Amino acid sequence: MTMQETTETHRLETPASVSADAHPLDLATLYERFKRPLHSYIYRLLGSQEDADDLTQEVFLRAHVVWHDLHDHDHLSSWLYRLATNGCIDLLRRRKRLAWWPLTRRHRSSGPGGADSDEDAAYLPLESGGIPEIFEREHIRLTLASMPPEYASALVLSAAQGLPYQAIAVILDISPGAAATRISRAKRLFAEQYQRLDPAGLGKPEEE
Amino acid sequence: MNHDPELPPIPAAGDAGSQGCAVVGLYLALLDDLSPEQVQAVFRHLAVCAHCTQELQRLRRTTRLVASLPASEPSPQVDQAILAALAAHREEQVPPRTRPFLSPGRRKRQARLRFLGQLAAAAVLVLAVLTGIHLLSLAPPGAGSVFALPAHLSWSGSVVYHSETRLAADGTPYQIETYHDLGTGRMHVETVMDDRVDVVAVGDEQVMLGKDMRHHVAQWGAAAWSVDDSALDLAHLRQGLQTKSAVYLGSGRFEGQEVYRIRYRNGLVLLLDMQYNPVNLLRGVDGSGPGEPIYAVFKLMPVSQVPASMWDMRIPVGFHLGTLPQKP
Repeated sequence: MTMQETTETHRLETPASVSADAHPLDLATLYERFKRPLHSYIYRLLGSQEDADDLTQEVFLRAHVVWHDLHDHDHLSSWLYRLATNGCIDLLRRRKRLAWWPLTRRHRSSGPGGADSDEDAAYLPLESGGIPEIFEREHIRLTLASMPPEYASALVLSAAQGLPYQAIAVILDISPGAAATRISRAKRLFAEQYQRLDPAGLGKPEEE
Repeated sequence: MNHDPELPPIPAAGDAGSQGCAVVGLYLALLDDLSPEQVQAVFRHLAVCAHCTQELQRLRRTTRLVASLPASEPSPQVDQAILAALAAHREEQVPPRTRPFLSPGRRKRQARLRFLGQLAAAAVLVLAVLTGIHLLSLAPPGAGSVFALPAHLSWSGSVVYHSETRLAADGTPYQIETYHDLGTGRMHVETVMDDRVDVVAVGDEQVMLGKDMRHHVAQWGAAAWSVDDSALDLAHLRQGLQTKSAVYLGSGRFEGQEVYRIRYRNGLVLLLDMQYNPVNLLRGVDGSGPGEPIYAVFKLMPVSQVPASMWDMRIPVGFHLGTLPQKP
């Protein structure tokens, strides 16, 4: 059915369409085509425009360096995403080691059982000051940052980049089944962590 | 990919044991990636399993939150550095050994150096090109092109599902999830706010039944709980393009795919994919920004994928006629 095909086209950066006309000098085309999705992906994971700029640059320069040795032009999208993922995971691990990332700043100590019992209460009320969208965005970023990087990246690839699990499997170089499991766990982990990191616990005041 | 041998089979509808739910849970997290057959099998299970239905809401909310992180793009100097490096290579036909442009502040950063060490520096070459830039003709996409909807285009047979978050007068966010049959105009609109409001409105332009799912109250004439989805009315769009009240803005990129952009008179910009099927609706498109999608989730599916019960306009057993709550 045409609609189904359309949906899939919508969701997957079809590498085939790139490879069809991608001869060695078309890296600029490749860049124009993928700079936004890749930068968005990195920015969503790292939460910093500067880091996203650096890593995007790194990915494409790396692509540039190995371009002529690259025979598998059929999976360019996956390959670029893989470079970006590895870069992000490295950086996120480094951040965790350095522990300067302000993960704990809003950490609310909640009982082990209380954190995930009510998943609907985690929206930020206006009283927390400022613009709710901005606070929510930061809340989402903190939640992602609190997750193991492998899970955070799988989650962003699926939920924000809109890639199907089969494509994510290729990017992460794991089996489709393993990718499915990882995405599924990542979503649940996010839901728990999002609740736990609820700023100041304002989302569910009556439950202590 | 109707069946992935890597995934366990979807349990039969009656199998709502914890084992069955565990397997369904895996599929719930991947709902957007499944074939219509798989989705149907999952929905058959959901119909008899409150636990998994709740889990689906939880997972959808996660997806919605993560998907709400905005898109971004490289800063202009990154564009410049990369295109310069590529152009340098193109001109000279030398092996690609270039050094990227880095701002002085960033150049200090350790993390970069590790990688940059791998790139032999040919800064002079890059600079030469940077100063004499005649990079690439990157004409704005769509500029000067003529746009017309194919005469045979039809969205009948498709249901669009979209979900958006709105803010009530007091700032409380609430969700509106809509199923809209683009062929018949039938709508199924669910409005949910925390644990306060859960109203489902089903119907079309003529008649709409509203159901207060929390209090089991139904009311006819619930058009107020519907949404204005006229942007997705193909006849409306055709007419708009004809009368110039809808204007083609050229193509662009949205979440990694190429789209046609059409601005309605009310300022909203409809995105169509290259097959002229709707992709999303943007607000705030102007000179200063690319706009933001109104719908966190936007999905087209065949009518057959949506259970018929979605359009059921009978008053459910246990509901009585009354007045719906105040709309947020």
